Amino acid sequence: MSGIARALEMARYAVREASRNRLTWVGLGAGVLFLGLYAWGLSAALGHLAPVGGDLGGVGGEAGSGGTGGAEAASPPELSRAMLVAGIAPLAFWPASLLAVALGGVLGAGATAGELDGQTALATLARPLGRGEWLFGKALGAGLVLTGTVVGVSLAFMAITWRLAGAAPTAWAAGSALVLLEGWVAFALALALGTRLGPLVTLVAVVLVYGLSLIGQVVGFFGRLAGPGDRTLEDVSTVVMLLFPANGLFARAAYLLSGANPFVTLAAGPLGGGAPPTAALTYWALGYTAALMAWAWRLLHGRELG
Amino acid sequence: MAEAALAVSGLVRRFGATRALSGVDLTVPAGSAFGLLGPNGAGKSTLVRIVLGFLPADEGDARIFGRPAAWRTAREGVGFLPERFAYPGWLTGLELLAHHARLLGYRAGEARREALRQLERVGLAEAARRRIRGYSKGMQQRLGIALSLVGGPRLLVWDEPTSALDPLGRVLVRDLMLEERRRGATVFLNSHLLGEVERVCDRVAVIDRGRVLREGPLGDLLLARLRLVVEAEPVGDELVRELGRWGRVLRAEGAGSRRIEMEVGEREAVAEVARLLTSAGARLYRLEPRGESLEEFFLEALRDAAASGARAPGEGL
Repeated sequence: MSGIARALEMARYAVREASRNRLTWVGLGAGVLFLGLYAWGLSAALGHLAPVGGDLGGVGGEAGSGGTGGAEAASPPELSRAMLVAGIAPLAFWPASLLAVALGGVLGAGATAGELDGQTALATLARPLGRGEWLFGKALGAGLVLTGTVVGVSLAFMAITWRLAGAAPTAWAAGSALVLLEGWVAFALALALGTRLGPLVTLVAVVLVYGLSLIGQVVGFFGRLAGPGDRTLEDVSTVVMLLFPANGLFARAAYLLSGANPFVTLAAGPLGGGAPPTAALTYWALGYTAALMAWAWRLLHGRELG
Repeated sequence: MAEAALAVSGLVRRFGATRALSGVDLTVPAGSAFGLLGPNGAGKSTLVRIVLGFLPADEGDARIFGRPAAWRTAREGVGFLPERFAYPGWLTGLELLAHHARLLGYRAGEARREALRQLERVGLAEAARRRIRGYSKGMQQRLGIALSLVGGPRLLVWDEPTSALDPLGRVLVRDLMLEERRRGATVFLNSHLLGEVERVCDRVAVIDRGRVLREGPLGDLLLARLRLVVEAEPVGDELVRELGRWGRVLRAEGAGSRRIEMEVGEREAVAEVARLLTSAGARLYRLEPRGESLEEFFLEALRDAAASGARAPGEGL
């Protein structure tokens, strides 16, 4: 049996493990709740918009175009709807980002810490199975569950928006991909820490790091409000974003979902970060995730078991 | 010489200032049932962890069927039952065993059949489709035994396999062990239950403070200090002294009609003692050679080690 086949068997096991983890279902329940609230909120907002009508500005798009270039052709209510979607989407997508991070942390911690700390991995690792194969398989399986959930929530988000407002959020796919990457950053961190720490400590550590990154974003928002005279706060925010590029990815997703309109992003408040991070952050986050995975392998390889 | 299922030489492992293993040499011949004995903290678990590649040794070499224990391939054909058995409660027994079978290269259908077959052997067929979290401690240990048997391993490493089992379960484990030996498997048993080891093992090693104190075929080790109980009449003091030529007289009770206990070094001495008594005109009522029990042998080994400067029996690390 090849190493790939053994790793795939571990991935199958990890998918089953994740699907039977109560916390995964809590996460999915939270996702459904978020979608329901979003549908209700968007529907109410659109209801208020209808009597007001009128052209609210220069940002908008044709129903279903998913772009911003059809303002001249769109009727005023359509423009208003598109404008509303561009304004609401970044804010409304934040729970999806939180869900991705939380689920990433739970699945990552469960995949390594849960099995190593509880010693349920011993019988498996006593088989002719390399530790790298074990880790790769578990990361693949749990990562698939994470990806499937985030993609599912994003698709539902898009479908609800389309159905109610007749317009998809701009750059929806790119925004979803960034939120998914955000979840993978948290997942990889939990996976790595979980090779040495217990599941609860791992989760707390991920939450703490994510909290710091959120604070970094808020600091950056106020730095941007303060104006270009003093960049200290924005620099602090950038450093935090580099140290843990989770919330920074959401800030970029929010920027894209708003139709790349920095004013709308700014209006989204501290959660949106105020500043549109560059594409370089995406590459940094990809490399960061890969580095965390490699670190996880190294930590597991050096761990004494039993 | 038969191939060694397990061979360790000069194994040293330190945990900070503590030496858990201080140069252990051990050979487990293929096809044997080998009992590893020792008090708590003797280094037994550390040895098992190194053998399974869970822990690196600081010095020395450990091999399974000739392959270095740290290699992944060394664990091909090894079935392991950990002392602190823990299995994912969210799986059913059948799913767990089928998963392990697939890791060993079985196809899905074959894996399920193999899983069911092993579950039947340990009496868990009816609970096969129940989640493990609902199993009792004893059922989980049976499950662990079944898991270690998946794929027909050549070497079984069982760490305290009966710690959670009732007497019926212990009998089952003994029977399984005998079946596995008949199949040609080697059993490496780490157990505190000396009676259990005495019943099923043909070789033992006593380990303490990371050193092997005694090792060899069980029969030879137990007969090395053969005791002889003699009841004869008449036996004067002179004859008792003469018996001392064939061993150490431990006790001589009575006068004329005597009950004598002595330790002899070899079986031949039994015949010589009988010949001496009868040729001296004594009537022999009892001549009973007794090997040491494993418990006596074990305690004796620890006492000897303590006397030679190691530590007193029962003292933990």
